[in-house]
Amino acid sequence: MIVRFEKWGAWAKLEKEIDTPLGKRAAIVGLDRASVRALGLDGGDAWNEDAPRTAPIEAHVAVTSQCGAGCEGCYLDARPDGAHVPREELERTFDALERAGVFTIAFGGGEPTLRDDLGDLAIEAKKRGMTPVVTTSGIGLTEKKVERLSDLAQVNVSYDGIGADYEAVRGFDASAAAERAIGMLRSAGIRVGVNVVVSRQTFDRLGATLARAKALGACEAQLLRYKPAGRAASLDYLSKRLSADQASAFGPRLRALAADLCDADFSMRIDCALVPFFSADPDLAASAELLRKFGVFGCEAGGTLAAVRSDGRVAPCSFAGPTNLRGDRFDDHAGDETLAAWRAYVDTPAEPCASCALRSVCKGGCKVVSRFVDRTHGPDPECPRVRAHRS
Amino acid sequence: MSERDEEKTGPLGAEPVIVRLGHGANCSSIGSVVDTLFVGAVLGSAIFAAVAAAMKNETVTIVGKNKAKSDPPKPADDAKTKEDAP
Repeated sequence: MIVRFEKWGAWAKLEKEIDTPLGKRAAIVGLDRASVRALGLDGGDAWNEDAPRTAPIEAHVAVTSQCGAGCEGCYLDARPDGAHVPREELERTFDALERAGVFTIAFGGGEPTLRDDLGDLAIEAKKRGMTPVVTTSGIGLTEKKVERLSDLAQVNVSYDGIGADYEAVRGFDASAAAERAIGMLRSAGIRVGVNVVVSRQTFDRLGATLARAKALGACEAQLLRYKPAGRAASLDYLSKRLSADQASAFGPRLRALAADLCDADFSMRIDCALVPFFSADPDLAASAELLRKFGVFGCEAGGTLAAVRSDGRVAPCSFAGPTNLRGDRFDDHAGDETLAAWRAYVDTPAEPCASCALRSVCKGGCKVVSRFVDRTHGPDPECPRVRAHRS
Repeated sequence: MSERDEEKTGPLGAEPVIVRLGHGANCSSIGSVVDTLFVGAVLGSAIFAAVAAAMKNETVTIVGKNKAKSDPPKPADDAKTKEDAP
């Protein structure tokens, strides 16, 4: 069990998967001070009043800006002529993440599997106590490449739907390549999940997409809100984002999907930007305590989460602009003013966030969306509660 | 809740005990398992019990900038205290 002291207690990452009523699962646990002491540990200086803030538990690291897929909405604007981040630079970043006590490192890009040394990067991350995971389009994945992925705890394949649904999100249909990749990874004994971007055009067929992913052998589906970053930061975003009705229906839809699909072999995750949509669901809107208990995160940009871009600069999240902090100084995270500003929104939010029961969990929704749509670092304009407040 | 308050109570507020299941397998956004939200109180409690039981069987490694001041206990020394762990 890997423990990192926090001012309020500690985070602990269990090193073995545990048997739960939902099946075998990895787990990260938040412990209060009394629970930490019950383990025979003491936070020491970390529990002092003036102790510095600790770092994120999860870091997203872009290992390349190269990708030949050409997705219309690529949030990083990755291109065929992009470049791999030098190995030495990445290892210096890994060293800083280790010093900071980061638990999970998620490799992204660009297309990470274009690197021949991706498996070596996973090994380097594990040497430093971090759990490495990766996301790939699956395009061009070969058995030889799959062999290099065996040290990753999980590989997620981008899979936005079957045929036309995939094309509606990315501008071309590579669903067959994604399905082939899921099968290859599964056959190789690698834990495989899918990333599913939820758009206005595909929302109604989400159940069929997830059922297909499960049938192909995916153990998990990560639902992602379409966000206006990179090539998606255009007027096209307005036609792809969820409609107001779809956003309001998200909670009930999620509940129905969980009832239909989730079991010991398949689970669902949602990204931070989907949490504000819970405000339209009476049960979920009144369940902040439950969300806290099971670590359902809203906007954790610059807090529990941060990113290191392919240019080596740290960002509050993968969709946000860069700070002046470089990845090899990631452990100086606490002193960065930009990261602090992103974290600070929840302290004094504008209405209707200020009086929202989900405020402490949601933290105001996606600031990447508010910055694009409203040109302010403010309430998520697509949150049903915000829409109602403004109407 | 101010950032100062958050540092005392945890990133998600006053609830001191949190269980996040699964790997954060995603390059872009933090991801949270949501099956747990719909399983009901009994199964929810069983998940916490499973985690507490698993913690008893793991040795402790301290990481991060504040690790120097605290040495993890030897497994043989903490049998009693582990009974109190959540």
